[in-house]
Amino acid sequence: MKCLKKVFFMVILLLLLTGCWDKVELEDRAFVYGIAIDTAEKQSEIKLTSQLIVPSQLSTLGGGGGSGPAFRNLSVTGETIIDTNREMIKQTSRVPDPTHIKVILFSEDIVKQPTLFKEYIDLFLREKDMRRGILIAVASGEAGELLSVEPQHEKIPTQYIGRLLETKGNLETIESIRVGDIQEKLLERESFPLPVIEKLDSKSVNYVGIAIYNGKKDQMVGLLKGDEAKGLSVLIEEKNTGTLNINVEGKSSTVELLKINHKITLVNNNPNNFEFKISLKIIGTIAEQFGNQDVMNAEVHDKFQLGLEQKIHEITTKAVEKLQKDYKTDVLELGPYLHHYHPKVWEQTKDNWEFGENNFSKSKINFDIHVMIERPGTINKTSDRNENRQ
Amino acid sequence: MKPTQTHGFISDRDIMIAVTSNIIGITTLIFPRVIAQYTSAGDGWIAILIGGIVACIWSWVIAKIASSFPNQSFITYASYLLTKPMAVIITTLFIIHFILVTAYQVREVTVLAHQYLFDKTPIEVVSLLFLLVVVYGVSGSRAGIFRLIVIFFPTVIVGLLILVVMPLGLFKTENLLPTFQTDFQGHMKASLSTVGTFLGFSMLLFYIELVKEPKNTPKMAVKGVMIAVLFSFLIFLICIGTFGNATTRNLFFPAFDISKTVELPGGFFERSDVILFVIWTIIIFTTTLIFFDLIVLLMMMLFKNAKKMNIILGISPLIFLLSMLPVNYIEITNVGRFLTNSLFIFLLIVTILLGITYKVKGGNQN
Repeated sequence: MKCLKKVFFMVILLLLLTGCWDKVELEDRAFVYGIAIDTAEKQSEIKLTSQLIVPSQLSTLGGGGGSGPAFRNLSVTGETIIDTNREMIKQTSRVPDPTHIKVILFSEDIVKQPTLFKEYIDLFLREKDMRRGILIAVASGEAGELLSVEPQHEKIPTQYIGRLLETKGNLETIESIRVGDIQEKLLERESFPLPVIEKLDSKSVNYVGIAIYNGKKDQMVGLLKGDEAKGLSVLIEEKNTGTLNINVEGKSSTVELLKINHKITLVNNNPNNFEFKISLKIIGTIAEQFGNQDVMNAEVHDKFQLGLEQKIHEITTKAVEKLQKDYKTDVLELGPYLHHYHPKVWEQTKDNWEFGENNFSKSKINFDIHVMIERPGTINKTSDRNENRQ
Repeated sequence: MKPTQTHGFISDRDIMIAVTSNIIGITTLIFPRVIAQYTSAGDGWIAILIGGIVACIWSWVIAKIASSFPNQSFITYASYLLTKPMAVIITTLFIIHFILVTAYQVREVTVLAHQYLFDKTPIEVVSLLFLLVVVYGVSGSRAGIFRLIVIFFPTVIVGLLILVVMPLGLFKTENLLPTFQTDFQGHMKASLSTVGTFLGFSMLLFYIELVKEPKNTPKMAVKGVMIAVLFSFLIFLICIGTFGNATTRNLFFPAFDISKTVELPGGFFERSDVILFVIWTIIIFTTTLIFFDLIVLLMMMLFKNAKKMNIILGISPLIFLLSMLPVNYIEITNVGRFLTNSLFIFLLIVTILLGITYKVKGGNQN
């Protein structure tokens, strides 16, 4: 009898174990996967587009039995992001769950306005459910539109955009920017690059170039595209490599960069007349040639190297010129370099680096480029004829 | 607990583990922020080193004094060295401090749980549940507590190693630069607050009584402090290297946020902080357990005839009420700072008093 009583008591205790205040069933959650922030018609308001995923649709899609897309986009306008987000609850049947946000897109209009970007990013760092690894990108045009592309090889647009931002192999892109990295930059008021993407058509998104965000003005001041973007990429990226087209004997060739090493040194530390030397050590391989050069020949090999060296010199000079003259923004990390390695010099110049005296724009930047073409690819040449192809 | 078990049931190793477990606690989560505030870039390591050395010496002195009176309770040897009334006053002050610290710990674990896990569960419920588990732990035998701490120890160490190793991929050495740019005042302040986070070794005053032959205990105690210093050192460097100084000083729980930064591939492991939350709960649990047990230990010294259960049941509601007193995060932070500072000064005075009289009167084997 005593034993029975004990068992009875335990069964009653079991009931207590089922309680959980913060329980939200998986089926009741609406996972927010991507967020796009646009300006609204009213000046002080923003338009927030969230991409919610529907877990059940996501799983059935593979079997072909799914009906409708695996995601749902909701757009709401409001004054602050969290306010807008709560407004969204009025429209969803589920509670939005931000734990797995992959990408945040800011429209160009927002990033170009002073301090707005900084203000909106606060939430993504403060909110407890947010990870610090959320990717950030600038959308050229309307950011919300990007979330509605229908990619053909991914199930969800955000997933597609996220992968796109993380893919390496093209010099016009930069390594993905995470929200956690941004906080340090914003606190130190350093400038940084941001990826810019646009909607190409209803099925694809295109990586446009690199936005230049000025940490002192707290706004995006410019955009680098094409060769300029490549130049910047060569100067600041280490993991992200890609190809460069060079001209050898009048024929186009492409060299793939395998490894880029860079090192900054300060040559002259007079604040009004800074001189930096950026040493680049680049290892490449011949990826494609239209001509029929004998790449096994040492002279030809030198020609390729010289061509690549000139090309790199050209694009980096272009990029640096634009940054110094037009944008007056240091995303080359020269300021942080001074701060880290020459703290005394930095103390003198830090208030006049990107504004005021503009020591960054006045400083002289030299390149010391070492190129080595390590591998020729698998073949020597495709055709042997020495004719001119049109 | 049988009366025969009151002395000599724990080993030197247990003391070492208990010291480490008691030092690594809620302050470990917060201290990178405090130190980053006072120092520039990665310079805080100097402060941790200085603070660590001070803590090692200090703990050695305390352990040395306490181990010169083998199997004697704190109140006995304190009465012998100072006077009986002084010993009673010191013990009472320690009891008050430990009650406040336990309440603070209970509240902080709730804050942490609220910050990262629950939104709607009332603070009272989380606190109460945590406190009930602690009470359950304390009401058993003291040997059981030490055994529990020893069992948890490998888990805690592995957890902390995971915490330190996982973000290495995001570690940027540039964040530690420029070196040696902190002024003297900054170093001083940072070193002082580092010593403040290591004050958990104050338990040595009371627990060495339980060691059978406390000959090697001072050495082991210092080893325990050293393990804690080592982990603090690593956690600080990882925080600065991953976040940079400016971010570290702006995060409330930097040591916890590093686990949020790491993303292992695969949807589930995208949130590796979940696993580390368990580790942190264990860490705070062991710290709270020790503090609560110290209250009981000291109370029983003062009131020889009191029953252990009565003390526990009398104290628990008080702790619970105290832990509910602070209304917001600012007050909690202030309470934490006050507790550290007051213990710092108090422990310093006690150590000096005991040290001087010990030099004069010498140890007592009876």
